[in-house]
Amino acid sequence: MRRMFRRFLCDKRAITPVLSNILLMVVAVGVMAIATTATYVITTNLRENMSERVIVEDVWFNNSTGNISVYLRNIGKIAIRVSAVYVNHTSQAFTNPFNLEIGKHGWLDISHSWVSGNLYYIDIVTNRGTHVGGYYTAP
Amino acid sequence: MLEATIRRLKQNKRGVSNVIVVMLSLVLIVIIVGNVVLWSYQMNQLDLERMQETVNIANVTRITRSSWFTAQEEFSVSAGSRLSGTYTDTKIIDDSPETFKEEIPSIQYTPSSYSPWGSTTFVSGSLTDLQTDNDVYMQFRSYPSTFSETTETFGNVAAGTSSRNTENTIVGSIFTPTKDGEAQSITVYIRMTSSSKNMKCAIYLHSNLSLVAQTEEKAVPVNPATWVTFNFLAPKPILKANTEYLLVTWSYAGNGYAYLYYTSGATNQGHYVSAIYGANFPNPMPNPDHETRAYSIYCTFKPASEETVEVEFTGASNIEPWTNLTWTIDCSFTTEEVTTTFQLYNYQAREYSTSGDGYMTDTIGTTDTTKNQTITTNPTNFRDADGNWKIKIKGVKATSTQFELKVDWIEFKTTLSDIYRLSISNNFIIDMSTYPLSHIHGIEIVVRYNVTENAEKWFLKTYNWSASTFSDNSFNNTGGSQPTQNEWNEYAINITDNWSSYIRDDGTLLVEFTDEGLNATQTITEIDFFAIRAIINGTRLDLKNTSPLTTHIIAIWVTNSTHHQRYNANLFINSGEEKTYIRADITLPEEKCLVKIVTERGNIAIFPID
Repeated sequence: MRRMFRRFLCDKRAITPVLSNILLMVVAVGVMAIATTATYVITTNLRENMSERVIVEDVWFNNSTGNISVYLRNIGKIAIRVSAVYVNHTSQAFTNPFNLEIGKHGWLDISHSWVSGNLYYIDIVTNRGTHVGGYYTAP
Repeated sequence: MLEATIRRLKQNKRGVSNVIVVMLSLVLIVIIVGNVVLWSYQMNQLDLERMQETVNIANVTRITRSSWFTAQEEFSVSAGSRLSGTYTDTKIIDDSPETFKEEIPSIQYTPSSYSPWGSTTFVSGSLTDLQTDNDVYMQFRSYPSTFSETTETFGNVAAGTSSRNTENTIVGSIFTPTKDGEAQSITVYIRMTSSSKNMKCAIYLHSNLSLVAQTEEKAVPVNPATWVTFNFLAPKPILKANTEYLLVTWSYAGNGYAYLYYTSGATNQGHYVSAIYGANFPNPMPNPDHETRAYSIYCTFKPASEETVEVEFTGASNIEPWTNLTWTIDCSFTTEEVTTTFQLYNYQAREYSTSGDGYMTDTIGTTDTTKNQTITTNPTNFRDADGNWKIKIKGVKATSTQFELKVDWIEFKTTLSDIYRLSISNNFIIDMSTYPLSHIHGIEIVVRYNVTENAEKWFLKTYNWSASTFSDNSFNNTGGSQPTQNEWNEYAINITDNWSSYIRDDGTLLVEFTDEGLNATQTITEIDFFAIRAIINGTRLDLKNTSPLTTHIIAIWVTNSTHHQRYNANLFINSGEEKTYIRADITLPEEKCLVKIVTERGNIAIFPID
């Protein structure tokens, strides 16, 4: 038994093909793992972007506060976070952070003075880049 | 050329790894792209459905009354009776009514206890068997009440030739009389030797060895075998036919013997047990030994000439003034031709009535017979100050054989007045899910009825769950409804103050419709419609889903310049369906406003109200 083991260690033939095969296998697995991870990250982002759906249920030009309140509801398949609000293409302060889980709804208060009878374009942007909004006339 | 290429490919092993890597990469790309395409498809489907969904608000109105809530079960009639129809006839106005009839009010009572009189014995049944005439009986057995002047005997009248000493030993045999009767004496065939000794006899009930009675004691002198008679002292024992009795004798121990003779008897007919002679026979008899002997001992008795069964029933009633009293008894016997007396206890005379009111008599056999009597003069003489009453049934027959009284039904009915009354009530349940208590402002009750007499008014009352009584407090009209005879009359009341004590938490209102109680003429009352509804300040939305998809309304908005209020909703409308949605909790503002509905898919329908 001991002699057999010594003979196996002293036999130098076929070492190179074995090493080359193992090396090739390691390289192939590594490349595949990197490709899979990259693909997963890319498609996850893509899928999240596709899944965002937000609607505006109500816009209230609130006399008592002087601000504009927008009632949003998340009808998509992923939670959203509002990252920016624009009124007439100008960024406005709002109740930050404003997050909505799937199916949830709530008021988003925009700190912007409004004038009765004026038309306002309200654009709400999520952190994934989804826009929701429209033109609203102050009563 | 192709063959050469393939051959070279087959021979060249270095390309295999490249092919595998390329294939795996392709599979990976396909999976990734497929996943993205599938997700994209799902989101597109969502968008497509959202685009297809169309729900319209046809109308929005302010409502002040809920829909009608009608009876869900048959009316409870506390006075009067139902003539025809069912409660379902009162659900809609269609001139197809449920009909009721006024009756003179009465209250029925049945016995709450009983007491057998004399030697009457209870056989079977219970007081609950007396509540209805249903051929389920309470039974009592008669006893011999009168006896013949002639005597008969049962026992062994033959003088035996063999004997057993009775000193300090109770000795006797079992015998069975064939008639009821009163025992007079016991006679034994006995021989006394050497000295006279005290002796006496007794009768035991064989079934439990209990002592029935013992005779006088006698000093029996020395004599050859002879018959000696021992008399029973008063009260003399009553014997029942076809019952096994032990006739025994017992002697004091002295010089010589006291022999009791016997003949051959049935197995275990003879009984004996050692017992030191004393003043009284032991009761019960100590466990005796048995032998096949018929001792020469017999009992002389007077057979019964008359059997009697007598039972008193008592019950409770009320202490209201009565206009009349009707008492009814349904009973029979296990034999024919029993002279039966029914008596009601007269508390004024302090005795059972013996004639007239409170007294009935009949000859009753094996067929159930119903006897009743209505007392209109001083009916309250037949109750005590607490309303208690007593009825006695007595059956007598000239026979020496026992029989049983079978009582099927006893009723003590008191009539409180001679005015015809009708009073009906029912539960009406408001749908609390649509009309929560917090949004109800009052109750409206309406009854559409027709009467054959207009001599009295009709009233509505509701049950006050806090006070546990019917009441019309806080009604807008407590004066009642004066009907027009043989025409449909509508009587409506509403309760806008303190109405909450009339509604139970589950939305139940118990409403009573009753007459004034003035009419001595019987009135027929028809009820075509009887319902309640809630007074609310709510909103009614008429919605229509014109899309090919079922829509789910999840929110309602009511907005104006100063007020933006969102109400959660949960309403499904099928494709093409029109639906009315009532919300008691949504109050529309007085000025211009917008009503919006929001669907689960994110669509919004708007209805402006000027």
